[in-house]
Amino acid sequence: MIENLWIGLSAVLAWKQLLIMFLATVAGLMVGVMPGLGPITAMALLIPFTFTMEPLSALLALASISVAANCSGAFSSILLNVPGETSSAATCFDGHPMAKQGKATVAIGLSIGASFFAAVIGVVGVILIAQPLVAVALAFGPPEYFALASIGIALVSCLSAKSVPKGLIMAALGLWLSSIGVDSVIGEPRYTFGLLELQDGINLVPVMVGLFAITEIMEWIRERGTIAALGKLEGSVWGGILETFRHKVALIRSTMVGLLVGLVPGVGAVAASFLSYEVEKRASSTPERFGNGAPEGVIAPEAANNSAICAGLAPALTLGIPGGSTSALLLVALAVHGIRPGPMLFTGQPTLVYGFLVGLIIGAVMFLIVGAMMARTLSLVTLIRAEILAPIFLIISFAGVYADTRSFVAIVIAIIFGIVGCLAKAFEFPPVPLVLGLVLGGLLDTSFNQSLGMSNGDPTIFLTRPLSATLLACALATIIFSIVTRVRGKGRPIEALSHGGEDG
Amino acid sequence: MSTNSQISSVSDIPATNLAAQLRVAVGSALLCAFAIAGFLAIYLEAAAFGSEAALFPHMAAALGMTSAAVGLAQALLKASRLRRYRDGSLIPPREEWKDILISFAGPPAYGVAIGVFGYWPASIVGLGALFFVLGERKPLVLVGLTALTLFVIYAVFELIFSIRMPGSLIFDALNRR
Repeated sequence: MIENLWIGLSAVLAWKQLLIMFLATVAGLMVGVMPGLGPITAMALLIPFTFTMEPLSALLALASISVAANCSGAFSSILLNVPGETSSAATCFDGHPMAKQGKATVAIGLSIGASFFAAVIGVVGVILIAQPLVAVALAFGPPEYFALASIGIALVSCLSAKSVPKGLIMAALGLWLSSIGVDSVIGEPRYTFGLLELQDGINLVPVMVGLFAITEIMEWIRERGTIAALGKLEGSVWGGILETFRHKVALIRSTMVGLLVGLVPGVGAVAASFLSYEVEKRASSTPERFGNGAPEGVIAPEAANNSAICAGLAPALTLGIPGGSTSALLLVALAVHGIRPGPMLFTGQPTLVYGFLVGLIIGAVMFLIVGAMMARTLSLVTLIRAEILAPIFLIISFAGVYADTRSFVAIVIAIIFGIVGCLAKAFEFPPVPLVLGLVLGGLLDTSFNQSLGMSNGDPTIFLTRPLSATLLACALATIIFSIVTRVRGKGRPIEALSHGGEDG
Repeated sequence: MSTNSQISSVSDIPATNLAAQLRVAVGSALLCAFAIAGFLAIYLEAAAFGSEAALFPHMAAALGMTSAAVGLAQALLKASRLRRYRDGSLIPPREEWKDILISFAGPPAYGVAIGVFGYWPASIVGLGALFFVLGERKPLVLVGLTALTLFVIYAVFELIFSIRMPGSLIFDALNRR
């Protein structure tokens, strides 16, 4: 393994490869901060350019752009309260309050430091555990995938909401939205009402832009002023990066949470980021700081998010099972260059695989440098008046929404969900479970139907398979535990009322 | 989200805070009631699908209806506890209505304009109009920022990514005839 790593490192440390990675990092950062665009769009746009490249150069370019776009998704979470990616949503909770306090550069520094550390540890984890993972992953079938997705939904619904029923309502809405279009099992149209535009279902990008970006724009118009309440920036990005490593326990714990949860295909990064946020909040001796600009509130989700994305590469490379959209596109790129993932990939093409993994680490280093250089400039957006920022951001958001599907229907969907997002925000319904329901709904639907097909229609298959039963019990326990802890918190009703009432 | 260990009675809690919570409770109850009706409609609509296609929507609707029923009960309980704090502020003051109107009408109006006129004409007029309506009056800012923003979008989307922004749907429909 050491010898293969050295071979990979030698292949990557060539001027041509480093230049490709630098350009891809800058491109990924610029794409990642724009609403409606993200790592998926960045990689999808880059793939055609890689057709003429050597396989290693192509993979390094894709690795760099995905690392940069993923990590920079936190920038818009911090600066604008608009998650660049679903997995960056938890970063809004403490990142944006820091921006309101004028500490946007510090918050960006925290996210960069956490992302860098987690990406490095994540890649090391993939190198060490990818092959042993094969045996474990083979034990997962459709019932287990259904149970895993259920845990993801339960976790996010319960942890992101003041009220568990409100979180579950939004998750159910997201699950319903995912069922719009042609059914994946038997090809029957559902809820299309004869409209051709709905045959392909509801795309995620306009929903996210509507729920987060349009909602935020509408709030800026009503509230006016600047994002940074004091009208000035405090602190430095390098100060934030160094502060990341002062919170060693939170950093390491969140990275490990992300690594473990990220190994689960399809569920990983979003659930990991929310789970690690909740873990750090509960572990803290001063949990009341969370939600008001606590550094750990930025470190935890970003570290978990990035280590989960790296961990998601393990099932992709060893089994060809994508851990998420990023690894799915990576598999496309591998296929374009005639490379088949599988257990023999690590031994059959060590230069390529280990070069790619080392390239991820170097990509993380490049993002650390480029991100730190651009952080202060990007943070200036928090000093722009809402009267200027809102119209500009609206125009850019609509352009980003259209760019994803080239369809005017996407703009209509974004507007509808902008209004939904405003109502949800006003009455404390969390938007993230809706997005996660939309993301995981397809997996839930397909795996549920496949499971019933395996058991000839007998639903007890979910309970008779030990792994599936255990995971479903965990999902149920998550919901019950969340309700019980919140109801117990209401034992002091006066405090509960003054806090804005965390309900059951 | 700050804790307050000094509270010993409801009278210690600011009335505006409790009135705001009453607004949230009332609004939540209305949304939950709407959600119950909506998920019921989803459930009934799914009955027209084949048995395999209907399973998942039925599950989602059942989850939604159950959660909405619990949420409705919660919100009504909370509203009844807080009803004494209604202070006539359930409706926002008049001076806020203009901004509320702009915030809710602006994005849909811009979206309609894109459909009718195409992205670039709608954005040129829409961007300038939004700046003006929100209170920006300096001509240099109005024209300069509009031009700069649209140039950047053109450069990034059309030149670099080769993504053509939408034209006028009406114009396209007329051309096809």
